[in-house]
Amino acid sequence: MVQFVEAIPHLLLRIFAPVLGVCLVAWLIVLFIPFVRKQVRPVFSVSEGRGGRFPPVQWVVLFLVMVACTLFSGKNTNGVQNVGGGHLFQFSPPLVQIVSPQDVSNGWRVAEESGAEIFALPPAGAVTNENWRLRGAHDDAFRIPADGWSYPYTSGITVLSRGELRASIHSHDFPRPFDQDLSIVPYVNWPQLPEGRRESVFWYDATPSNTLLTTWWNAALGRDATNPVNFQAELFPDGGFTYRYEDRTVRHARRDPTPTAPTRNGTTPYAPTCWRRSQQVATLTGKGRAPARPLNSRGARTSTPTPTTLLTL
Amino acid sequence: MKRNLFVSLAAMGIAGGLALSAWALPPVHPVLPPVAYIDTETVTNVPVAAWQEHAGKFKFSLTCRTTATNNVQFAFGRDADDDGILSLEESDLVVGWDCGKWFLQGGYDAERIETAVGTGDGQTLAWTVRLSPRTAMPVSVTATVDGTPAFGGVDVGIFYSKNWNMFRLTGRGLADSAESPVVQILPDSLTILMR
Repeated sequence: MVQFVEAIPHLLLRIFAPVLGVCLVAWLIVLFIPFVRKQVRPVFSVSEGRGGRFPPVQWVVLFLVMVACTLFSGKNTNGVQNVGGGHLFQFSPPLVQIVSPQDVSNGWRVAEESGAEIFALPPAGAVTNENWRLRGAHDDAFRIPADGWSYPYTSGITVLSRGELRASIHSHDFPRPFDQDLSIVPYVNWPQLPEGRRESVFWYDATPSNTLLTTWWNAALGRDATNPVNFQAELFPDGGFTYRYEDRTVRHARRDPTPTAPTRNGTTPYAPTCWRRSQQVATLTGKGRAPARPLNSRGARTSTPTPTTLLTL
Repeated sequence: MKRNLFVSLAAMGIAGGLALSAWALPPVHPVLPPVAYIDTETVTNVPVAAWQEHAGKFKFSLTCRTTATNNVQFAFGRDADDDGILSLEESDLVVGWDCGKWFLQGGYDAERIETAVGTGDGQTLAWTVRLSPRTAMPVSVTATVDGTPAFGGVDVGIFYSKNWNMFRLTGRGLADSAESPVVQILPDSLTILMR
């Protein structure tokens, strides 16, 4: 309901802006082009001749044309649409997520560091990929078996050091979290990271609620030492997933008023169909889908389309 | 004089023919480019010609610096999308050294088989796959690390495919180019033509 109320201004703008635009253009044409004005005047003066009580057929047709233009304006047919500068993503089973650049710049930036427990160091019991910490990784992968957590369609998740998750190395089940690759910085190069962000690791943990937390901690976005980010993905037993972003380098972003009830580790609760913000992190939720038929061992490529990149930093 | 010249040319021809037949598929000597990123990962992809159907053996060896903080791995596969890069998805077999252990994987999804044989910071992993002359399928494999048997009991089918057309060498945690690994791949076949 809240989402519907929030969407009303957008709907109004979407309906009336094109109507006003078409009316303005038509009026200018009639006003400034003598030939058109000469042709149109007798048509629209019919009603005046008959007393002006009822709109003539021409007015009704013009109105219907404008309504039609309004309804069909801006629609794409490829399943990915632009709405308010954001992107609509269609997953299977059908579920739509919206992330706009405005959301990114205003919503998920961290207003303050306090309370950002979600991106604290790995909790007790978490498993750190020691090899990635020791020698670094950009284009590497390993598989986490479903032990202590569960996710439909698969008995494990393949984690790519560049920031992706896949049910299978051959399928793109989850959207890419960034438009650039992440990489884990080996400890010998931690001094090149900004002060205070000199521990670059990947860790994962199975939670008591049977979910899987995977976290890229101080990972280099775009393989750039000056651009470390924290990113976390959580997979839920019902097939949902949540992406969480944190950026402590921006300290003056606005505080989002949307309250969220914290759960374990202070994380934002899972919201199956909406895009929710908190004061500390931004989350993106969605539903995974059954993995595509994997490649055979000799190279037949799956035709599963790659989901479009979501966020641009 | 003419006779000596003829004998010399014939000898050179025979030697050259033998060499060419044994090395019909050029040996692969990939070289890693310098490290350019903070994650230290450096990669080179090597396209290879089609394999010989009648190759009797397939030999592979990888010599590299082996420390507790470096990784050198070699992937075999088919570049299905012809982009000149052997991606993770296209890799059928990954083998190498990773922070203290030699490993073998039948693709990035597969379980990693590790072995801790070998000591020292410079070791050589080598194997020889004997192929069926009729089907070019692997029949048996002998793998060693510095001469010590390794990876016993592994399915021989993952060690060779005639469909492979791209290799990928990856290095991580390497201090400088002096640590660049040496890779040798050789289809071992000899064809003698008699007239």
